Order: sequence, then C-alpha cells, then structure tokens
Amino acid sequence: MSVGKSLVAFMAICYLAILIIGCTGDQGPVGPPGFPGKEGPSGQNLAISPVADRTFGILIANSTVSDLVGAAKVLLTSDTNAVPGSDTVVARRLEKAPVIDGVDGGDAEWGSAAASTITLDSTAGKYNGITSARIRAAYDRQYVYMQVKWTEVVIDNFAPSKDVNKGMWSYDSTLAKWVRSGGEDMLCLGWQLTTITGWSTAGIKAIFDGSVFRTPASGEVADLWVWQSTETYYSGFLGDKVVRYADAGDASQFDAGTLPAFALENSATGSNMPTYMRSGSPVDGTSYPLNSYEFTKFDTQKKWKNHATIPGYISFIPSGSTADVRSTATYDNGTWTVELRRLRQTGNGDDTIL
Amino acid sequence: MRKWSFILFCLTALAGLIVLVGCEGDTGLKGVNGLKGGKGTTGNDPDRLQPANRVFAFAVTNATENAISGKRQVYLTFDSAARATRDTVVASRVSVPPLIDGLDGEEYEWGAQKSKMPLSFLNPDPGVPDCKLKNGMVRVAYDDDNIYFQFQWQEQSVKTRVDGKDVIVADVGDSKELSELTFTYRKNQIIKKVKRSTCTNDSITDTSYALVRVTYNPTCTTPASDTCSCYDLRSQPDTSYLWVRRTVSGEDKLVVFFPDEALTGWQDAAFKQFFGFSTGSSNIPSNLFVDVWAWGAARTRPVSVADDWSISAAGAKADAGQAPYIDNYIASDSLPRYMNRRDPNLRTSETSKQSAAIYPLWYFDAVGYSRFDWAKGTDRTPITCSLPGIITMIPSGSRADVYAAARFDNGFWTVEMKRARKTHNGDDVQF
Repeated sequence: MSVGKSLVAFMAICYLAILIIGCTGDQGPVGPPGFPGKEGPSGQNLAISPVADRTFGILIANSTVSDLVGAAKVLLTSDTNAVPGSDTVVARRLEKAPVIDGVDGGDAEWGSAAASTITLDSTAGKYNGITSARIRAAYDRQYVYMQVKWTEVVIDNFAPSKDVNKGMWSYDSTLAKWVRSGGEDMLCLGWQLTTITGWSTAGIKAIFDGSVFRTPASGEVADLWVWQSTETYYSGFLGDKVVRYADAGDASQFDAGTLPAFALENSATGSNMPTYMRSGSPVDGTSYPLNSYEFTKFDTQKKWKNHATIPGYISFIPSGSTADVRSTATYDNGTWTVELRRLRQTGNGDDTIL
Repeated sequence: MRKWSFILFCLTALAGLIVLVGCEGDTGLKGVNGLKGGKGTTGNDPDRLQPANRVFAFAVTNATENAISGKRQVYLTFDSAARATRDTVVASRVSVPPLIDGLDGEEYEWGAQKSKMPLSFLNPDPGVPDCKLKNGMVRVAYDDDNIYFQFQWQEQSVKTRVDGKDVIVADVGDSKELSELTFTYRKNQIIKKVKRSTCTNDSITDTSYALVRVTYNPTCTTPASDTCSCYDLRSQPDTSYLWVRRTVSGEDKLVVFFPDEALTGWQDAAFKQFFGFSTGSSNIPSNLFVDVWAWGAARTRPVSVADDWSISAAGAKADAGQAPYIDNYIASDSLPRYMNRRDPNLRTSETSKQSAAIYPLWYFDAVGYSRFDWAKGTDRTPITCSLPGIITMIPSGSRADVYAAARFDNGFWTVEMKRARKTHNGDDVQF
C-alpha cells in the first residue's frame, strides 16, 4: 500500500475515532433570568352565603303544653324571588342586626324581611284556638334572626294570659296547706339534623307523635328549639334540645351544658310543701323569678300569710350548647312576641347549620 | 515535497474534522427564576374594611351621678395621615392588640397618636358643683375584629365655701362604694311617715321605738305599684329596720356616647336622657340613636365590662341581656334586698370593722335580707351597720358587649375598653 493510501486509511481511522470518542465541548453559560410572572388573579370579594332552603316545624301551646297547634312543615328560604306565604318564610339579609328584645321593631328593624302568616292547625290535645303565627327571618354573615308572634284567644278552657308563673306555690291559711297552680305557654321549632324518615311528608310530626319527641329510626337526629314562658323565659335563652331515636318515651334532651339547664323544679316534699323558698323570704312570699343564687331550703317554722307565694321553678342561667339560641319575649294584650338569634354555625354537632 | 504537503493537508483536514464533528458541550445551567408577578387586586370583605369616621362624646364624673365633665364632640378618624388634636382622635391600625388591663402601654401598645384634651363641665343644671376633672386623654386603636379605646383623666380635690366653712365638693379616690346602705340603732330619729287616710307625706319624731319599724298598710296589696305609696312606718309588729343610703357614696364613671348619625344637638338630648338633667332642650330628634358605653368604678369595674345602653327618642334603655349589677335597695320599704352570706356585720362603725371591704358583693355571696343578727350596740353607743348598695352580677348578652379594665393611680384614672367592630346586635353602632 502506498504512503498516500496508508495516510488516507489512517485519516479515516482517525475520523472514525473522533466520531466515536470526540471531545465534549465546555458547558454553556448560565441562562438569563426568566421573565416576571403574570399578575395573580383578583381576590374574591367575600360573599355572604344565603341561608340554604330548609324546612322546619312549629308548635305553640297556650298554658297547657299538651294542647298544641302547629304547622308541620314550613319552608325557610332566602331565595330573593320567593314570596312569604302560609307555609313559606323568606329570610332576608340585613346590614344591621335587629334588636333581640321581644319588642317588634317592625320594618325599621327587620327591613325587607317581610312577615309570613303561617297557618296553624290542631296538632295535639285540645284545640287552643291559635290560628296563625307571624314569622320573620333574617340573617347576616354570622347569625340567623327570627321573630315569632302569635295571639292567644278565648276558646273553651283557654284564655289569653301571660303564663309566666308555672307551678306557683300558694299558701291557703284556712286549710293550712300549700297548693300549686299555673301552666306556661310554649313555642317549639323543630329542624332536621340528619335526614329523618318521613320528614319530607310529615315535617315535625315525624318526630312528634302528639305527646313525646323521638325520631323514627336509629341514627336520625333532630334539632329542637323550645321556648317556655316560665322555664326558659327568665334566662334570656330558649332551650336548645336534640331529639334522638328511642323505642318508646320521650327522647329529647338539652344539648350539652351544665344542669339544670334552665330551671330546677321546686317540687313538693313528702308533706306536700315546697322544697325551696327565697332566702330571707318575707311571710307573704315572693314572686318569679327565683334565681339560682337566691333559694334556700323551705322554712317549715315560718308563719306564712294567707296567699303567700313561692315560685314553682328556680331559674338558672344555661351554658354550653344548650344556650346557643338567645331569646327575649314580651307579652302585650294577648300577643306573644318571641325574638331569637342563633349562630348560623355553632360548631356544636347537636345543632343544625343554617 | 508534494508528499509532505499532502500530509500537512491531511493533518489540517483532520484538525478541521475534529472541530467540525466534536461533540457539543453540555447545556448551560438554567437561569434563575424571573421576578414574582404582581399581586392581584385585593378582594373585599365588608367586615374588614376600614371603619368609617364618626364622632363621639364622653363624660366623666367624680363620685357623683350627674356632675359630668368631658367633651361634647370628638372627631374619630381612621385616616392614618391625619394628626391627633384636642378635638380629633386618630385611630391606629395595630397588628398586635393593646392589652386591655388599665395600665397605660403608651405608644408601644396604642400607636404614636394620642389626643390630649381639656375637659369641660357639661351639666347645665343650676347649683350642680363642678368637680374640675382635668387632663383628659384619648387613644384609639383597631384591627380586623375589634376597636380599642383608652381614656385617661385626673381627679383633684375641690372645696367650696359654705357658711364660712370649707365643704368638700370632690375628692381624689377611686370611689367604688356606690350607694352604701346603713342602719343605725338609735332613738328619736325623724322619719318619714305616710298617713293611711290621705296618703300624704308627713314627718314625725319617733320616740316610741328603739328600732324603726316598717310595715305595709294591709290595704296596699302591691305597694310598689301603688301610686300613693301607702304604708305605715311604725304601726305593726311585723317589722324591720329602716335603712338609708349613705350620702356621698357615689362612684367614678366614664360614659362614652356614639351617635349613629351626628344630628344637630344630639349631645344635649343624649346627656339629658342618660343623666336625667332637669334643664336643657326637650327636642329629641325622632331618628336619634346613640350607643352608650357606661363604665362605673362600682357598677361595672368588678366584672370588667362597660354597661352597654342605647338612647333613642323613646329614652335611655339598657341593651338586651343581664345587667352587671342589681340595686340592693327597695325604696318603698327602705330595706336592702340582700346581705352578705358570710357575715352581715362585716362592716360596722366599730373601730376594728370600719374599713372592712364589703364591695363588691357578688351574687353568689349574697342571701336574702334578714332582720336578725345585726349588731346594735347600746342606746349610748349605737352601732351603724353597712351593706353594699349594689350586688355584682355576671352580665350577658348585648349588655356585655364592651370589655373594660381600669386602674386608678395617683389621681389618674386609666380606663381601657375593647369591643367587636361588628356585634350583630341591633342596639349597637358598628365600626
């Protein structure tokens, strides 16, 4: 092979070698900084969510709590197109909260939250003649506010009266004995906490058989707000209860909190006398309220005057979840006005979220 | 020669090949991230917007009910560019809320701005002495949830000359013993008697009883609501003692007024409604609404609140809820309602018991009043017994919206308050 051919062959080999094992070049320089990112999306204005459509039941008693009128199922909606009706309450958003004082401030307080006149029918016991209740509802970011008004009427054994002296003890000096008398008025609002069998058709009647509250199936729970004109009236709250399933009997109980939640009954002793009285009570007795810090053991040696009175219940300030619903009521010329306020979300599992 | 030229050519070509076909170098390192994009437009939370500017007034007292000093109108602005003056309070936005403890944390807690202001005597009624309270100072701070106020003022001793003698109008002290009730075992005192037949007031000198006796006229079944207050002070054996309110046992107070709308003359209407002035304009605007925070050294200090009231055309009214105190006195039969559970004779005129602390009397320490077991002494050295004029309760509801703490030090009161900007109670102004 000639030198030229050898050289060409050598170069070809070198070329192949270079292709195969050729040197790697230096690493390139660091790239330039990236471009600024895009402007973030605009913040979302905080929108106050409306109250979701709910149904609730209402029960009202005049003096005897076993005789009730009610509306089994009332729609609570915040739909701006809804119209208040005999079974529909339209909640409106308020910029300024109404005053929960039991005094109807009218449109000046409740604004566009128009009152619904809810038709009431006999639900349990004797018919007490209360034909309707006027209900307003409103809400803001944190609270739901409601006002319920009804007028008591004369019918059979029922009569308009401010029954704020339930179970009052009275001394009859002629007979030398103590007797108890007096009932109380009551308002119940019932809500589903879980889906309750039969609620869609029967409403509150699905958990109230005319005498006791209980849900129809295990695991089903209802939220029950109970205002009473003696037992809860003096506390500034209404009784927040939960209703559970039971085979028989009443299965409603106060939400978590100290006991007694609202009132301790001043029940009869074995001698049919009050168990408690106001500390230092004069001989002509005392009136409601008898507060938790005022009572003492009944003094059997005291020379009570005729018609001396001692309250039949001792008022306590509730606590915990049982005090979730603030309430104040007034009675004027046969009409009760009950106003209430509750957090839309209490953070307690025994309360419905509104 | 041609051969070596050819070899040189080949080597050059080889070098060119090496340059041409050598592997590419690695990719350089990634450059640093670009700058962060701009912040999007902030969304609105209606509850977190800067509060609207407003006006307010405040009044302070020195152990009296309505001899008030203060400022009729203070402008409260939330504009941080504004400057505090004697008429303008600039609220500071704070990231750490001031400690509401009655101790002046100064600018470390409240921000740099403070408004020093002279206090004017505001009671228009004739004959009411000026307590000459002075050196007023106000600070305000706020955050997303709450608004905070700090008030300071100084008391001084004031005397007036009456019939050639110095009479103390005002003294320096924390005045926390409101309406102390006293009973003294004594004879021959002049008491008020109401005749049964005419129901007209009369006075007699009682010389027949060592202890004053009180009983209701049996014909008055509801004495409290009886318009002529028929009762006989002496006649029946079912009796108790006559207690009286000790004079000059008032409390120091601070009352702050926030009108919903600064109507012309709103202060006159608000002061008259709240303090019960007998003079002053009777024209009350129909749309008047004034939120009132009333702090009292006796009434509200023990429970760390200011009593929340409101004033409208209908008058002054406490907000819904439990009051921080109840009155321990039944005027119709001159009796206390409650006494101390542990010892009714905690404070008496006896030397060793004169300065015993009887305030506050908490509701859980109180029991119904009993006419037994009171220290009497003798005819020659009768003993005076004392009871608090108020019972301290735990307030609740809208009435307890305003948290407050106060200290009295060297003649200066420092009262600090805190309230939620949105209370969700219709009887409050909102910030």
